[in-house]
Amino acid sequence: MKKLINLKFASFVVMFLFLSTKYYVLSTSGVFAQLSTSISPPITEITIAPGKETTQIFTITNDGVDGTATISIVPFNSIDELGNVGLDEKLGITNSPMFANWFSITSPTSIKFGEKFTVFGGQKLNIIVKFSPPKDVLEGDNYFTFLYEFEADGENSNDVVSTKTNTRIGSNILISISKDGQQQKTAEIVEFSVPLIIDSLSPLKFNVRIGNPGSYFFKPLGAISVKPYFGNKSTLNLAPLNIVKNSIRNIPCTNNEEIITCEYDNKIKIGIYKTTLKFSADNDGSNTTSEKITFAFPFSLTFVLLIIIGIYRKISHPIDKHY
Amino acid sequence: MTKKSIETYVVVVCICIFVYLYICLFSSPLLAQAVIESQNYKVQMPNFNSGAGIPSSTNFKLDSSVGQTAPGLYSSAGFRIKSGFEYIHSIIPFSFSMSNHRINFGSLTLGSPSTLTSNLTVSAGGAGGYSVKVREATPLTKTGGQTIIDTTCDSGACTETTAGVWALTSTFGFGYNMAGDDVPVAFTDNTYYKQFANASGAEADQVVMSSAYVGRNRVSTITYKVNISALQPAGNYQNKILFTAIPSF
Repeated sequence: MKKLINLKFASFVVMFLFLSTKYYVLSTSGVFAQLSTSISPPITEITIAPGKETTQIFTITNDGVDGTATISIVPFNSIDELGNVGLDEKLGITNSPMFANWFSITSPTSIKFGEKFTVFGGQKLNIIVKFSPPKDVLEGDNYFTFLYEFEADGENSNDVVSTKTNTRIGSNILISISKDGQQQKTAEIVEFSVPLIIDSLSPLKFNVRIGNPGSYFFKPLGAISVKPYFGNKSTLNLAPLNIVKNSIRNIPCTNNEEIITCEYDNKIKIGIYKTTLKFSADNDGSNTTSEKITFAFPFSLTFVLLIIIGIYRKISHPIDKHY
Repeated sequence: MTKKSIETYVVVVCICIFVYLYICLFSSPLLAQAVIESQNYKVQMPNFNSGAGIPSSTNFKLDSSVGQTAPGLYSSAGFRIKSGFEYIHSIIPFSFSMSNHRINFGSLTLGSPSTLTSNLTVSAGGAGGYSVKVREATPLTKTGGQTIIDTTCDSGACTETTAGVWALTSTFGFGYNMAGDDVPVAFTDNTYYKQFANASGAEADQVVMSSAYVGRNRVSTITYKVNISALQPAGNYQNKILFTAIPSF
């Protein structure tokens, strides 16, 4: 009887070990179904004279399964006021001759735009791209996205009903064509909205939209300063985000490398507040400014006080009853 | 050797094998993740990237001209180049991961919807905001050209741009729902679905995740759903879906 129990116990242990190991191996193989790609740097800004050339290294990685990749460069347009891009894939350099002679891959020489190459899991590749706008190109900006498309090995053609997903990751390239490197930047304040009257306890929020009617992108370098009638001046730094040509961008503020909402965070505000928006387009020497006035009044505190007084009076002087 | 000692021996051997397998499998980190390799490239001068992004030229030494605005240097080299974002002093790669790239529904049961999920992870630590867009090359298609249509949801009105409730088992087609970080507000809850934008029909890619803020490990879940009617011809149906993740500029 005891031997039988021991045998059962041994069988149980063996079965447990087998199943747990099998489960782990299977779950690990599930993890291998992951696609994971990255690209660096996320943005490149180039100012270049017509007929000159320069290069940039794009580091791409594959931290998922083995597969094939393709590299392409596609022009983009600004599609909103948040800095998102709209790819113009019809004008991609593998589809159109318009920009084909602007770019070439100098290393690795085995990789060509639009052609598939193998990328193993864990592999990192440095792709060196040469930029060489032709001599006769017009001055002004051109915007592109470097795209790294990845497809995992294996086809799904034998599956009954299935979807195979590919990933594509991009890095933006802003190219300013300028003969002398002294681009004329033009900035305009499209909106600088500040509330005229606020409650003392409510936040003082600012909305900044800056337009670029010029031919070259720029960053707004400046700040919003808030000067209370009583008290010290506070400063909120504008996020130096790119505003591309013929576009408007909503500009938030920045604090310790984080993008934040432009908001004066003093808890209680009373009196007159003078807010000044002041910035330059890439430190071009000319400042663009706008001033606004806000009145902060303790509406909510007054309301609460009146209620308290009313209750107090009602308690201390009850209404006389007349018979 | 007694039977008992044999059993003990078997148990010990099994434990040893298990421990060995455990150590082998756990000690080699096979997990594929969106690796951010280092807190690299802390630069004293914003814009200069000493990792990926070193500009070079066969004609000019660039060390001092990169990212600078001296006009004399520009006239000599003919270019300036900057990498990364001015307010972020480290250049961290922009990365995008997907937990499952092959969505295999297997054989479908008529009038019984099948769903499968995949997690999307974006790390835009080195960039400002970002957006992830999606499109299908074609609807689910079998050899011969028959398709499982893109769903129009219960109301018959949802498209690649408009979400709608898809809860009825009598509603057929193929679509997706998004949940998690930075997903479009149109996906009110897990009953709301959209069609995939059909590239073969010249439909524009649609946003599935986006944020105007610096994001690290933003995670969302896409739920793929398919349901077929009795009229659907038998056969193997496949398609390809492309996710495009791009940082803001």
